[in-house]
Amino acid sequence: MAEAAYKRDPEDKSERLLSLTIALLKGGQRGLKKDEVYGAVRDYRNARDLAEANGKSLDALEKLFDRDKAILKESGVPLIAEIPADEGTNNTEYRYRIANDRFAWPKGLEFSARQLQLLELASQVWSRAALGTSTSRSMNRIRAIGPADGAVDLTSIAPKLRVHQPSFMPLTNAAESRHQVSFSYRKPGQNDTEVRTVLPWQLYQVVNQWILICFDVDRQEVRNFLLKRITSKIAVTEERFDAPSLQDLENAKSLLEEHIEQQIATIRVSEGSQAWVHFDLTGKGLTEHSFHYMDLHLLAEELRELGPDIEILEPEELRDAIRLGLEKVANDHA
Amino acid sequence: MPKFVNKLSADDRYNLMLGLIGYLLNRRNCEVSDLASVFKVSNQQIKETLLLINNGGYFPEGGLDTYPFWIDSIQLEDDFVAFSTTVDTPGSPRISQAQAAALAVGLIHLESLETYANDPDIQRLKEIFSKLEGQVATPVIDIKPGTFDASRNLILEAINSRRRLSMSYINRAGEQSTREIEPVKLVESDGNLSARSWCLKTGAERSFRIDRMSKLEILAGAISPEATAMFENLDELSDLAYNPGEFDHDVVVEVTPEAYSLVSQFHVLEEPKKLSDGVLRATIKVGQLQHLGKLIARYGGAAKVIEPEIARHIVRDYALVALGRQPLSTHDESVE
Repeated sequence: MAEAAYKRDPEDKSERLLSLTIALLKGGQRGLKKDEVYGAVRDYRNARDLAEANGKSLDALEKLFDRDKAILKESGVPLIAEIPADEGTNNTEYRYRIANDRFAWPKGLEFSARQLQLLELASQVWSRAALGTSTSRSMNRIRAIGPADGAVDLTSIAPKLRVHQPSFMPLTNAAESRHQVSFSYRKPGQNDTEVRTVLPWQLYQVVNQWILICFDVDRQEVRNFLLKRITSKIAVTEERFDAPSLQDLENAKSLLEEHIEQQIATIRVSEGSQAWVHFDLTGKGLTEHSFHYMDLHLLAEELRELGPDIEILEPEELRDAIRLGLEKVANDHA
Repeated sequence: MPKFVNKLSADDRYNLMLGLIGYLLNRRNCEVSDLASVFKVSNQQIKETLLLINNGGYFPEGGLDTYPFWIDSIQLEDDFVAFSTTVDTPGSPRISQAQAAALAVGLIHLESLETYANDPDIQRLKEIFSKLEGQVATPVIDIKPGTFDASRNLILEAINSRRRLSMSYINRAGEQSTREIEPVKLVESDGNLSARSWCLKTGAERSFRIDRMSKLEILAGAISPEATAMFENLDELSDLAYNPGEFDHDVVVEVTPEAYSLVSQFHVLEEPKKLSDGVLRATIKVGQLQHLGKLIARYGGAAKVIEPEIARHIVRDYALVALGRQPLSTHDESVE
C-alpha cells in the first residue's frame, strides 16, 4: 500500500505518537522492548540511526521517548512498562505495552444526543488555563462514540471553573499516576515555608477554594492543603502509592465538613452598606450576622474587602487576622 | 455555525486522530463535512489529519511495514471518506482518569444550576462514568458546588430567556443606584460571581458583582441589539472580571502565590515576570485607581503595588481607614 503524499509539519509529532500507539498495540500483551519500539517507529529509528552513525549517545532519543510516553498517558492511553515475571531475575529490561482491556470504551456504550451535549457543556465549564484543553481533547474520544439520536440545543450558562494556581495540573497528574510529591507550603501569617511530602489523593474545590486532600508522609495522617499557599513547583518523586478508597476520601471530606461546622463568625454590618448587600441582609431587619467558615485567614481576606462597613464580634482571632493584614498593607505601601 | 480553532497543536491532532479512528471503526464511509461537524474542526483540518493517519504505521526492522488504517486519498479529494483497517483494534479509545474526573466535575457543576438540577441524563452519565473500571472509582478531582440563591437563579433565568433585569446595585465606591442590565454570561473571579452584561445606563459592556445586587426583577420585552450581539459572540466574551478601557492606568504589582488570583482578574500587559520565592511581578490595566485599595488590601500583604506612587498611597490610605485611622493624603485630583 502506497504511503500518502501528505507532507506533515516537521514540528508536528502527532504522526509519531500515532505510530507509537500502533506499535504498542501490535506488540500485544507481551509488549515490546525499548529496542523493538525504536525499530518500529520511524522517527525513533531515524534518530537512533543518525546518533549511531555520528557516534553520539541515545540520550536525546531516550528523552523523546519519555516525553511521548507521558503524552500517551495524559491522553488516556493505558501504557504499561513492566518486566515480565516469567523472564527471571536476571532480566531487568522493561517491556512496553497497552492494556487492551482498559484502552477502549466498553462495548455497546452509546450516548444520546442530549447526553453528548451535556458532556460538551461539562467540558466547557473548565477554563482553558485549568483543564479546558484536556477536557476539550477528551471530547474527541467521546464524540467518536457518536450520538445515538438527533441533535439538541442546550444553553451553556454555567460560569467557568477557573484555577489560578500553577500547582493544579502537576498535582492532578501526580494524583492520577499515583506518585508521591513534595512542595513548599506557607502557613498563613508566616514568612517562612516548610517542605511537605505527601501522597496526593484528590484536588477538591470547596467554598470556592481548591484544596489538595492527601496523606502527609512525614506526619503520617490525612491533611488538606490550600493550593494557593503552595509556593514552589511540585516535585514528583519516583515513589508510588496505592489509590485511596472512596471511603478514605469521604472520611477526609466529612472531617472537613465537621471542621467548618465548628467555625462560626459573628459580625455587625452597617445598614445599607456593600457588606449589607453582600451578606444578603436587605429587608431582614438585621445588623448582626453569624455564619460558618472553613479557614479564618481566607475569611479575613473576604472581610478586608468590606473595610469599615463591618465590625467583627467574634472570634477575636479573626479580628486580629484582619487587623494584622491591614497593618502589613499600610506598611508595605508607606 | 461552530467556531473552529485556527491551528491544531500536535497533542490536539493526536487526540483528534484517536477520535477519528474510533468513529470510523464504527462508520467506514462518510462525508468530510460529517466529521467536521462531529469533531468541531474545519473540513481542511479533518482532511489533513486523515492523511496523517494514513502515514501512521508499524515498521518492524526486517519485517513488513504495516499501515493499519487507510483512508482513500483520491476519494478524500472529493470530500468523501472511505476507511479501511487491516488490524483488529480493541475499539474506540477511552479517556484518561483525569479527563473523566474533570468531566464528572463539570457535570456536578452543571447540576448545581437550577436548569440542570436532578437532570436524569446527568444522573445516567455519572452512573456510566462511575462504572468505567479504573477510571473514576476514586476520582482525582471533585467539587462541592456552592448553592445558588434566588438572586443567582433569577440572573440565570434572565440569561436563559434573554431578558432584561432591573436591580439595585452598590458599586465598589459604595454608591447605590438602580440599574437596568441585560446579563449575558456569568464570570467567576476569586470566589465572586459577576454577570457580564450590557448596561443600559452607561450604554456599554460592564461586569456586575452578584453579591452587590439586590431587588432583582426580570422585565418584559426584548433585549437590545447590543446584548444580542454579545450572545452571538459568547465565545469571544472576556472571562476577566475587569476589562480594559481606553483610559486605564498601568499599575505594576507584585504578588506571592496567595494572591496570584488578583493578577488573573485583570488584563495583563505582558507575561508576568517571575522573581524569587514564587513572587510574580505584573503590569495590570486598572480603570479607577481608587478601587485598588479594596482589591489589594484583601490579600493582607500578599499583593503589593510597586507603581505608580499615587496607587500606593490609595492602597495605604484604604488600609488606614479600615483600621479606623486617618488617611495620610487626599488623591481625588489625581484619579480619573
